[in-house]
Amino acid sequence: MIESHSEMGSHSEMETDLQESRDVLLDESAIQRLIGGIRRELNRVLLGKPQVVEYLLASLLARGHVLFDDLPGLGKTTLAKGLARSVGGKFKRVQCTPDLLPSDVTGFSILNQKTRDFEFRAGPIFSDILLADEINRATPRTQSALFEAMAERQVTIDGEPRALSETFLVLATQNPIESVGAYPLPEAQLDRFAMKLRIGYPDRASELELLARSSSSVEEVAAESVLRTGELAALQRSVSRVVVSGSVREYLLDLAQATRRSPHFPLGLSPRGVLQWQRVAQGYALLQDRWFVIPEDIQGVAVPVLSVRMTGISASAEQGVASVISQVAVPKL
Amino acid sequence: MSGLAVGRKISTQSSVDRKPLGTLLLALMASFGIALLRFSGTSDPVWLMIEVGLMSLLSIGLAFGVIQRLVVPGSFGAYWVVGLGVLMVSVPWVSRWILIEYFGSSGEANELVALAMLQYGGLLQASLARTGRGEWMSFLISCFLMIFGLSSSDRTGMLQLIIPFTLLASWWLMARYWERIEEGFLVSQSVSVIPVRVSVIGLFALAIVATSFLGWWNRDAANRLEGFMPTSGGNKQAESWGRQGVGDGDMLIAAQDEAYTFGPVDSALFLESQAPSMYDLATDIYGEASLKNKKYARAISLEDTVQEMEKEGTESKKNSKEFSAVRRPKGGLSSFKPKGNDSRAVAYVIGEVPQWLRIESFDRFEENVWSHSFEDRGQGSSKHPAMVMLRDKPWMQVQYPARELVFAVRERLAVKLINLKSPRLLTPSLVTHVHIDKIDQVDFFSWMGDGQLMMPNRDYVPAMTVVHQLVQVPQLHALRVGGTGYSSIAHGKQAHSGESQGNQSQGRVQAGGGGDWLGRYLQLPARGPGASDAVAGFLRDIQGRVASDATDWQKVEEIVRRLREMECDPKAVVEESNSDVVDHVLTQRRGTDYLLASAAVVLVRQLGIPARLATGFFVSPNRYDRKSGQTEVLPEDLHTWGEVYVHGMWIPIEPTGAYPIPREHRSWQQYAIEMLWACRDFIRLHPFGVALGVLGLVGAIWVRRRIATMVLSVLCSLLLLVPRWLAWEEGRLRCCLGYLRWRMWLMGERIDESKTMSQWLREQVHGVGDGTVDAFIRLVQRCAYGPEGERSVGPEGGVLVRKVFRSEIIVSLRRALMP
Repeated sequence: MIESHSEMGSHSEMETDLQESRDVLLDESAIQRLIGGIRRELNRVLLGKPQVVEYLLASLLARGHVLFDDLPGLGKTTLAKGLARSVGGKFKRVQCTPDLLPSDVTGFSILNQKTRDFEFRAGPIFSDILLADEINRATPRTQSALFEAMAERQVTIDGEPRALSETFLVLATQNPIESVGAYPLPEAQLDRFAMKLRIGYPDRASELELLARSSSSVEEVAAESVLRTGELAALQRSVSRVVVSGSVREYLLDLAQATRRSPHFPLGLSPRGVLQWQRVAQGYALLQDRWFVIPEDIQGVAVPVLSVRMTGISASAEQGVASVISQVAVPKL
Repeated sequence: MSGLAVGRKISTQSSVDRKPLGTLLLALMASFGIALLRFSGTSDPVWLMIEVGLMSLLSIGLAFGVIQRLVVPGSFGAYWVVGLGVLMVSVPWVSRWILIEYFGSSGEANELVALAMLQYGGLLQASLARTGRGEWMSFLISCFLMIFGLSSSDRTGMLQLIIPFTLLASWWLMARYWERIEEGFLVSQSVSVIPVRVSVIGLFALAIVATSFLGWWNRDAANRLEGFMPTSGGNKQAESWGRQGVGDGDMLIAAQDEAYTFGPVDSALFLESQAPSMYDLATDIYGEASLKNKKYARAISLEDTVQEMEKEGTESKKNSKEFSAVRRPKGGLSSFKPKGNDSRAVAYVIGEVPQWLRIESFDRFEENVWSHSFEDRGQGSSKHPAMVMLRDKPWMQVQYPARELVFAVRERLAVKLINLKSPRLLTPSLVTHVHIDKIDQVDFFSWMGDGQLMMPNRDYVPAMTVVHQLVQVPQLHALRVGGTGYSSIAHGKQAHSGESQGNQSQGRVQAGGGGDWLGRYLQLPARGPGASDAVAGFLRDIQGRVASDATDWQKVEEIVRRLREMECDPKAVVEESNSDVVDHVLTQRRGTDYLLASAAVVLVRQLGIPARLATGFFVSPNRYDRKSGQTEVLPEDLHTWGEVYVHGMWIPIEPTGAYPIPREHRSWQQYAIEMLWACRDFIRLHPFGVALGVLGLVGAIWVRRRIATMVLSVLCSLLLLVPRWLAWEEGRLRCCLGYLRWRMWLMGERIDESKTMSQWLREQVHGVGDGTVDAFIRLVQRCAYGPEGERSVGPEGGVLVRKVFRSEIIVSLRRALMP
């Protein structure tokens, strides 16, 4: 059930990585070069979906966990793997089933017969990017453990708190059509995701190219690593330098208040949601090499960010978001 | 900037820094109104202007927090606000002290200073009001000041101020009402503003234009509001006339303590008076009477000096007073040249102007000379006016006009004599009551033979006498309606009911003159040998012009209308050799006012309607002095007109086109009908002009959006002229964006507030290429949302802004001009 792509081993090794990564400083051109590299790799892996790639990148920069909500076979796992490869971090994958236990995710201590001591076996959660496939098939107990880790960025095992990777990112997928034997995610837990993305079917040209590519080669196209150690953390830190002016901030709050009044949203946007929205918008602005957020950034990421908070059929997400946006006046000069 | 914030913006977050702009605007308007009032009373308008301007700026600065930012925060706490308030409120007092102490000026009156303190207090209150209650206080102060100013000021500017003020104030009240309702909700975000729509702005503009027009139209009218403010003075608080300076005259004539016996006033002022007589005035103004045909040496006009004339051996009493229609004009006034600071005025008049103040009338017209055909003096005691008490004052009732022919409400008129030697009183034709202070005996009034009111037993009415009169306004509609008792006014046919009711005094006066005293006013001059039949021709023409069932009065009006079309020229005198001046006037179609009046009287008499020539003064609205509320009557105002006898009263007619038509009361229905006819006549006269005007108006309404866009574009193009070295690029950028928004609004496009700037800029900017638009959008975004340090436009940005601005103005101008 659990597979690891990483060659990197122990916990202590990772901590030194973190120490190093704090020292990495990136200038603006380097940031754009790195972002461009990841974008290129992802677009190579997932054909014809540049907007999804942008959202994913924004979420990555904003350290927001992403929930893919789509039919099987559309490239969710491919995208997640490609992302993990291109950012060069440790990638782990959990295939969620009803018999998956929390300790299968977080890790557990086992008695070493030789040393007569308890030895910690780290779970897949100790990684840079964790793909939780079909998350709605795990039991609420396991889901809960995972979500706690997502929110706190640390897990407590046997009374001992253990920090997760600084760049820890969960990409979860769920299949909206198979509801038998599934445990739908409760709203409170959905709130921990920054975005809900739908990939959708590719267009004809992309699909043709996909066919052409697989006919000539048996090997799966794999993304190449773009970032070096610590550069992802540096990228994520640089998002904080993107300026959000007062008027834009007020605009964001106006939108949030509008969601609380809107009939499209049974549950209005929580302050945590607003925080994530701002962070994602900052990342989105950075993707366009702009060091300040404009209302377009807020609007641009509104659909994936707000989709998480919308229950009911996801087809109305765009409508709901559009109605909220049309209600709120954009700050002008 | 889509609206003018009147109420406050309710918002859970931003309630601290809301600015009560509506309240401040109301307070500023009220302050301006009071300033207008103070302008009337101040001796230093420039000083006052500076003071009010500074105070207004200060209050605006306080309201916007500019002043607060200048003061180091926390250094004085809230005390400096209190100090500033005390300073502001005491400014009028201080400025008055400075004016008196250092500029030798008289400063402002005490009550005005108090008022000004309240004015600045109101401004302060408005600029510092941050709570609802404070705003209410300020609102009430503003309303009080405005109402006070309106009731006390005589300036028409107040009228232009009060209408926008009222609109704004009612809007303010409405906004407060909505706020009260919305405060009931927990989370409410409302912006109560005046929506700036074409209709709202248009309404404001229309109101201002209309009131300005009214002010301009009425600029000479003497219908001032009776006030006690700027012209206050005197101590007779109860008598409003006393406060306008007339009271002094009232007191003067009663020089003796108990002046009920009204003896001659032994005052040097009167004894040395150089006041001209009516004769002198006529000679000065109209020129010397031609003496060629006269059998006597000198014609004396008004003086009650019959005895003297007889001693000099003039022909007869009845010729003793004349008015020759043949005169030689001469330049300037010779007989009356006031010395020093003496007033040139013949009299001062308080009351509605224009007025025709008659002093003498003539009935006989022979050899181009008007004269009296009867005794100079009325006889007997029975002719005295009757005394009635009105408002505890003795008034002499002198006339009883037919009730149907006059408007019931009497107007009050006061005439203060300054320089005129005559025992006759200056009265309008329809005077009904006369009152002179301290006179309660009817013996003091009598009639001259021509029906003019006089003061018997004295050479002349003393100077400075104030004659209060009640005047009625004719209501002539009944005369124009056929089939009633008033349709005929020709002699012998006039309804006796009217005469018996209306002509008591007049009839009694004339009783001594013979049974059919009215016949005198029908007498026509003997036709000279050289006379053509111009009169007959003129009358035939008149008969042809009026409808067959026209009443007598309508014929009279037609005669007057035709004569008014003739040219009035003071130099158009008649040659001495001419035997018939009327003939001359009618053929030459020009003449002086006395010639035209003579012609009018002769023509009316031809119809069998009694008429007479009246001389006196025309009280012109042009001489109205707003400050004192008085109208000056100068010697040049000497005037001659006609009077027609209508059912017991003499109605003035004005055949000289240069003078207005005497007032007449109309009900609003009559007025509306008259206006309709006037419109019809105007359309008939200028069909093409009216059609063009209507077409132009319709066209202008049709393309109003284009016109408005064009005006806006031309105005905004001025902004392009602001030089670069002023470094006003941010302002220009804002103006450019504002221009684009206003243009959208003017072209009727919906402004979608939820659109981002790049969206609507992409839609609105058409004049430049896509690359420039993108650069412009980036610039705008940076200036709007960028980091604080990077928000300036910069030199390249400035070039970009100018380029976009210019091209957009050109595009809209082109679009507005293209079909």
